[in-house]
Amino acid sequence: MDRIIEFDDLLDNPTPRVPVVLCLDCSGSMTGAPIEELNRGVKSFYEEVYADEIARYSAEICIVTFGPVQVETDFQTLDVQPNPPILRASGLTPMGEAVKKSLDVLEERKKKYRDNGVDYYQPWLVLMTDGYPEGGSSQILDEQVARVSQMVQSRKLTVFPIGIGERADMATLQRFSPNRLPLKLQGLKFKEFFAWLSKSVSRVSQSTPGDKVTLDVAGLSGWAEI
Amino acid sequence: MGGSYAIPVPEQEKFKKVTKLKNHGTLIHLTGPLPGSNIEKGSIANEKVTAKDSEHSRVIMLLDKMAEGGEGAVFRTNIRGYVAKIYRREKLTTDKLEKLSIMISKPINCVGVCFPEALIFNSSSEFVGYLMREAQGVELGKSIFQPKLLLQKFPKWTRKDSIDLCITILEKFCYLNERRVIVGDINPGNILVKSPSEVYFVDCDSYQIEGYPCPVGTDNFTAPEVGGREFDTFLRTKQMENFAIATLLFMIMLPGKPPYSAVGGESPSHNIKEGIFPYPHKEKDTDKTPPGKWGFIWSHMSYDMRLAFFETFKKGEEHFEPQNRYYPDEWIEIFKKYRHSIGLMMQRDPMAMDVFPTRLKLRECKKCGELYAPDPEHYSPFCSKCDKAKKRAPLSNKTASNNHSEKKLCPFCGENWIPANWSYCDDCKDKVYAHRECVNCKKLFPVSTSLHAWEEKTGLKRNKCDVCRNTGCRTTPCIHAAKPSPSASVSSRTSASASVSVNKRCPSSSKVVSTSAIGVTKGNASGKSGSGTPNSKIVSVASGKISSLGSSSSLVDGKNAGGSSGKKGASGDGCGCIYCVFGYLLICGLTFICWLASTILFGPS
Repeated sequence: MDRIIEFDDLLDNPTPRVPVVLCLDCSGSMTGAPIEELNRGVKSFYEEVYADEIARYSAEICIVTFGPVQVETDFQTLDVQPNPPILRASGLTPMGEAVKKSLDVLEERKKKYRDNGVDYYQPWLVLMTDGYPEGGSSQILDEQVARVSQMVQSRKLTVFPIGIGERADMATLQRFSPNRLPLKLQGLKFKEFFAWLSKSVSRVSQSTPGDKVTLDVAGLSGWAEI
Repeated sequence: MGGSYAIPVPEQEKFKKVTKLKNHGTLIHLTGPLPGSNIEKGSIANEKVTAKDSEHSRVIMLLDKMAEGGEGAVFRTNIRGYVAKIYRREKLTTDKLEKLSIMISKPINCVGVCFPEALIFNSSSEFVGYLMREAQGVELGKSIFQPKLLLQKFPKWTRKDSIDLCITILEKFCYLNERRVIVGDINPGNILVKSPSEVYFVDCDSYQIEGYPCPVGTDNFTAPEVGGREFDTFLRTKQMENFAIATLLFMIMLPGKPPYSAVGGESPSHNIKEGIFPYPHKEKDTDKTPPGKWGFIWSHMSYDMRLAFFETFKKGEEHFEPQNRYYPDEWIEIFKKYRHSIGLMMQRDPMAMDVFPTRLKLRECKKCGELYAPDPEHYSPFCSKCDKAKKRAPLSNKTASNNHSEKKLCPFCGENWIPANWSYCDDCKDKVYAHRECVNCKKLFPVSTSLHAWEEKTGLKRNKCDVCRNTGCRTTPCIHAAKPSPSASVSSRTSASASVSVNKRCPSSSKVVSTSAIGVTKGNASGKSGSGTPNSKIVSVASGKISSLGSSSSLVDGKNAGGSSGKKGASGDGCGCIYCVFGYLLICGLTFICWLASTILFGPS
């Protein structure tokens, strides 16, 4: 039997989506080992999510980087886009602008889900930085802090703010995380972090939208300084 | 509750009827070891444990750890075909022990249901888990519910396989529900599929029995009347189970798509509560259908199938209220009917068998009678050629007049305006007005609104069903009608008719016949246990090339059974253009002559 059927992922994939935005600091200070470890971590994240037959069709990953704010890859399931982008370090740390861009693309994607009758879970925002906001507008930063808190309070977003290294501005990260303390990565354990993240994504993708999913708190000790 | 059975299950084989929820138990503190707790998934435990059922006790070996989850781990054992689930320490509670002890006390013996069969104790004789049959196949969530994985894992899967899978699953629900077992947490992860006729139910320790609730569940499969309660705080009703079953069936037929995923973006639980079902029927609410292939798949289902889903999921419809939801045995009838008709539907539209059709079902043009593929964006009862011609030419008397005074509201739906000389609107003319018993075969046959109108007008009355009319059968009982009309069996759920009851028992409830029973299920329609199907003719209609095509159409599709004789109406599920012809006949007053002519010209063969 001829089985060449065209599938449009957005329309024809019935699996409820877990939108995940990785908002990653790729400023000049990340040059060297940090950016290499980050790339390795993102790659293993992609591999592990892909290997899970449900998460592959459920998790939609979007990567926004700053240095200059840039959408490296827009929301796609890994079935459609299995290859991670290669991130390069340069520029300053316009965190507010980056968060704004992340939430804007997220809103667009959510609208697409609604227009096409696609169910989705509470979206995730992973915000990673190794320094202080720099080179952006402080007003935009304040606006985004308020926007994020509001979304978190109304259960429309889950945020994971993560500090990298000693110079990370944990105070600003704290502002983005009204409900729990921001976590600090142990050394450069990006890979461990992303392994934990992919497991969490898999867990969510096996539940149904609206169900309460508890995070694997025990697993945090594998990568976070607590 | 779930219908009548030819051989009733003895009361002692059923679980007790309990309406009061058991209190939570307490944690059992193990003094001895937890078997296999110190090894990785994939490695071999080689530990001795004791398995006890209500009569025997026997030492068995735990072999390799096959899987590990939040509740515990599953081990292969030295008993062929059996595996052991060993709970985590924090999951070992007194109420779990009580519940499992009751579970193993009843002979739940249905191939494919991996029910607890014995308790397992560690070397200190403490309860640590239970023994069950080993499941095979792949989870629904990782196969049927994801179009790409479905085609990857079952490359030859057709719509008939989806129907067969539904029937196989429904038979297990019949078996369990009849014994007062409520599955409760029906979800894509705890049903495994090996083939359309070989399915495994796992995680059976969570099933609700007596006062022990099923403590888990998911939104999509949760009936609106649950109203956000925690799953371990109440006992589920059969009606709630019926809701979950209906959802499961829908998601098998529209692979993976939940019935309440609608354009507009409210959450599934909101849509469930409000009964917002986004698929069209009776031409209502078509703008919420998710784009892509879902509307196509929906359109290719038989009329009765669509009606059953529509009326179950849409608020205000006949089967929406909890007490009116279909029971598994009723769904089986609907699915069997659909399977009978699929051969005929294929003849009319070759895409009827595809799991993923790429266009809407073909319709018969109301003007020229040619089949055409409707445009999903632009509804028209005419093919593109006639549609264009219509737009150019002024409206004929049949389509519509612009003068409001010559119009009236359709007396059936009360919604559509129709010309004064019509009886019913296009949407309603094929609807079933009533059921009537055939004087010949004694089965119920549907009387459509248009047939009713014709009878009113002419004073004549149809007394035979299509089957008997077309075949000219005069024997009693009629040899052409194998089964009562399913709508009849649905409406009169208490009548113990032999042919209906065959389907209701788990086909594989006895180990001995299991393999052959499965073979039969897959192969052909209703002859499951050999009795109850008076002849094999209708059965073979499923394969699509039988002379009694016309006859089966009325069995298959209530919509078609009205005024038409054989003709093109033989096609299982259609737009009903035969009625257009009929309508003209009324107007011309040439009914009788034309009927004769049509029978001669397009007779059933």
